[in-house]
Amino acid sequence: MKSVRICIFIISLLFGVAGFSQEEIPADSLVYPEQYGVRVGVDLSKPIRSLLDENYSGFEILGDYRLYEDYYVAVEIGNERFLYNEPNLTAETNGSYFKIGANYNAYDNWLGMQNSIFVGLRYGGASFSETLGHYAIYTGSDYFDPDVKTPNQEYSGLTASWLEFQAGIKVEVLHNVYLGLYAQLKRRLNQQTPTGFDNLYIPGFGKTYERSKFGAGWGYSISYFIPIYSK
Amino acid sequence: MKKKLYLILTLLVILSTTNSCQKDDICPEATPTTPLLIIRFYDFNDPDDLKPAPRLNLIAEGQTDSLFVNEQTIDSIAIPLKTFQNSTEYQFIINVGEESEEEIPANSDVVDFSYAVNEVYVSKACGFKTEYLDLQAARETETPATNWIKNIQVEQTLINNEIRAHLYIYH
Repeated sequence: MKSVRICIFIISLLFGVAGFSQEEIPADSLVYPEQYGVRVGVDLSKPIRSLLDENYSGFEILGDYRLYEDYYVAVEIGNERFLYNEPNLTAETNGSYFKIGANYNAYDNWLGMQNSIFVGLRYGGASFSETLGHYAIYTGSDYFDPDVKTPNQEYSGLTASWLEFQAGIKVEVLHNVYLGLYAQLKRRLNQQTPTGFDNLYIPGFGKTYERSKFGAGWGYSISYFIPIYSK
Repeated sequence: MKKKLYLILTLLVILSTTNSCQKDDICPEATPTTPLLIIRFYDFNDPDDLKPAPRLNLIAEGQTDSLFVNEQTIDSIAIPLKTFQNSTEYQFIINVGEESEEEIPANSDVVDFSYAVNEVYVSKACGFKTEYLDLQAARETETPATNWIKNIQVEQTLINNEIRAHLYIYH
């Protein structure tokens, strides 16, 4: 028993030393070039949700460009279809969106690496249509049979815009291949709603809430870094 | 770092499949939806006094059961109107199931409510409601004159809330 404890102690010491030695930064003053370029990718969460959720389909292409040290210009464009499907109301939203803004990398990398813990701001805009499939007149009494209407009316030419705060991480898992994970908080600036109805979902913005201009979202991405120049 | 990331990704995939139950899909009871028609019963001989309608039952045209089975005498009721057409006809029956010694027979009067309907979007969870415009009410006159309802007065022609009585019945 005692020998086992000693053995574990020695092994743990070895691990400690091994771990420590990894963290040591070489003391020489080798100049490591910082790489600048474009990172392009796709949001993985949307195709996965498209497979799992029959009321949803969507995809998003995203990219960023390293402008200056820790600052990146970032763009997302995508398309989403969402069916709000409840017994007393169905409405399908379909449309495209873009987001443009910047990310700031708050993570101190080893030289030459571009892992990031980032915060970012976006301006988002969407153009979409909404189809009111069916609805039931909501009454507090069940004396009469439910009154269900199926107008199947499409409202097209709807628009919305919003500001979005993002925070997340991007990690290089293979050479120049990054996995990202991020959360989004959005505040709507403007929206055009159908006459006598509402936008239940806005592509890129997500679900809308009653009497609230805020929305939330999240995603994870895979992207590839294309170096353009070093300095 | 990588292992943690993979773990988080796996968790997110699980999360994305289980977030289908949302609170805003339940219509709160306090939300005003399609209003009921509120009727108060007054004394025909003394129009300022409420006068309960004894043992009142209400049966709408096309229905077999009474809207409520009321053993009490009440001076105000709230009744639904048909949202899928522009009129609703009710039988107002008093003294239903009277078993006192006096043997007052039940008396049924037919009242026809006519109106226009206006559908209004409420919210994601509640869907749509109906408002009634230009309410009119008429009692069918019986011959010989056995009507227990003497007069009907519409107080509000627009019915979009349940705050005050919309209609008075004098008997």
